[in-house]
Amino acid sequence: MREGTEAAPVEKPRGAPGETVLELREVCFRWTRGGDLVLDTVSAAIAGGEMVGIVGPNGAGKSTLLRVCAGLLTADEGECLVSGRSLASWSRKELARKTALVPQDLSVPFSFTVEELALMGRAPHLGRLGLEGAGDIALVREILSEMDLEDLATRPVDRLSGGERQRAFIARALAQDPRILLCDEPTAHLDLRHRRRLFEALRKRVEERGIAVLVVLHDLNLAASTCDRLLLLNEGAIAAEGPPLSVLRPDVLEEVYQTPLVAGTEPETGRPYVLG
Amino acid sequence: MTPRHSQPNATRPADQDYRSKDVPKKDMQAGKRTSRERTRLTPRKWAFCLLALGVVVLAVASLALLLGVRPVRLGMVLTSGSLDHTIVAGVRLPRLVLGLLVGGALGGAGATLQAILRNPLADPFVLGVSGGAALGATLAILAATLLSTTALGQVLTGADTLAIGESAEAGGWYRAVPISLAAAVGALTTTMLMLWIARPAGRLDPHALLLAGVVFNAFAAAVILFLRTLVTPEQAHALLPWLVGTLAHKPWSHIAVGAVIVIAGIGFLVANASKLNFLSLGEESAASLGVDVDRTRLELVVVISLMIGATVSLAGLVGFVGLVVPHMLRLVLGPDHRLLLPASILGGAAFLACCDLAARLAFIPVGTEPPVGAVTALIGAPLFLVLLRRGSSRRAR
Repeated sequence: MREGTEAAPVEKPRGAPGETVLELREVCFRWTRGGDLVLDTVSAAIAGGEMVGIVGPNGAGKSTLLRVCAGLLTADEGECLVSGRSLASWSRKELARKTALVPQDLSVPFSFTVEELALMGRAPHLGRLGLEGAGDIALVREILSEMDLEDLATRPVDRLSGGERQRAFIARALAQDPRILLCDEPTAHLDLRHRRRLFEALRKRVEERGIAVLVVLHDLNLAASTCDRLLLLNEGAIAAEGPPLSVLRPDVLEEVYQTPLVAGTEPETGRPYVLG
Repeated sequence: MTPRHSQPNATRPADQDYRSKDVPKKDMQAGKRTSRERTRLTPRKWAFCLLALGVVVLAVASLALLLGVRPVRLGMVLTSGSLDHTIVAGVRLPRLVLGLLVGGALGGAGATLQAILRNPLADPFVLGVSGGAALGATLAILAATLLSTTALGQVLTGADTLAIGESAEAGGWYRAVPISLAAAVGALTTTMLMLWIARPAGRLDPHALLLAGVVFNAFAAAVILFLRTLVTPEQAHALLPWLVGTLAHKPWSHIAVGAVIVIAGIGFLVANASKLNFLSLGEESAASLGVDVDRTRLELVVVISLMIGATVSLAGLVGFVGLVVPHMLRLVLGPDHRLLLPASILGGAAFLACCDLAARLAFIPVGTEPPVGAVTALIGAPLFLVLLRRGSSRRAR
């Protein structure tokens, strides 16, 4: 039953949040002109030193919101600020030194090895020649062992299982050494052990280096046990926002997910839980 | 030294315990897959591999100059005015230089297209880009013929002798430029079409894109054949190389135009080689690693189109070089484009020069020679089928 525990137990109380690093101001997004709003006047602020979860039903706009934050999609109205500067004023390379993304699409058409993929995370920090130095390689080795990938370092990514591949992409994002880490369902393919290791790695960076993590999660219990704050999205708008306890209330969730469910608080840990 | 132990971690003992149980299975897998293991790119590996390929290019080049219908002696070649000197410097050298340029351009363009389309089977010929260039060149020649009474037409019709290209007096370098540009426009249009078809990122079956390319090739060939019936027999003969490529009988002045375009293009591609790694992981990954995706992709596509335009206007349709060479090299060197791209350029140059040498030597007793495009297709088409089958079976697993 060693593996049976949920992801990393969260240490409380947490440090006071740092300054805002990522801010959304009344962001609206539609795929086509005049089409439905995928994001409807979303405003949020994420500070350094906190891990924020985006939760919500399918099609609520969670991934779209993350892509807007990553600068992959441009808001139709409103704006997204990184370190107080509008996203539009950042060059891609500058932004890549500041933010990293664990994408949902993990397809790799060529046989890059795990190490090669992870080293690509160093790209925004390299000089004109694009050659990695000893420091880059040492950092990537450390991250690979953190993600339990050191035995797979020389294997081609396209021959790995879904979970191994996802860890390789997470390693790449960590190698970018970002101030803001955006993760799109990073646990979709992970087993319990690696899920725990992932959140340990994220928590370590949040606590020690004060980075901001914005993570899309499907599993409400996982979100409750790992995140400092949750954004509950419904039909493109924020339905609830705040610490897990205040967001994961049965009345709120039943309306958003439109399904009867049981929610409560674990007596031992004081964490909220949800049963669908 | 191992960072593992340097990190304090409360759950480590349990973790180690779990790992120890897991190790035998993992080791077995590792043993099974060792043949696929590869070292990452180091400056040393980079220099060594490219130097080795450079030696191969030089070796092929020397053979191409020395071998042929008439065996030449090294001593005589260096004596200007001798027959051997004339054969080597006047016939074999321009042909070799053209082969190296065209092969290098096709190898580099193939590797680049494979990365930006995220499709290991992409190739300028298979995707119809070369066909589009040939169509552009054909249309330019016909337009020049129709305009031949005007002043502009006078300059451009000089260009149609370029197509016949039998004599070295076929015209100044300026006559190669409009055809080359028309071919580049044709190539660019086709590449844009293919990118548009491949657009629904990753969701499109990669084979559907190849199918689109094959269909476009058939279309371009049909249009060229159709146009051929509208012109005089001499002009029709001149349009033939655009259906099957050949390196023979090109004047230095035209090769020089191609060389300028191809070498500039190669410089640009090599400078952007590391971006190809990121683009091959998809738009989102590339953008989050700091690549301006739309701009970089557009620049690359324009540069490739110019290069393909230049090579097609000089050598016609030479297929499969861009498929075979990067593919073989990727098996040996790995997919890192910082090495793979320059290697594909050198490899493509050696491969095409080698194919042309084979074409020249194969039928000496009969006194004829097949076009080099037929040789590359003879090697490339079966390989393409093998790769296609292997790709499908891997996906099915």
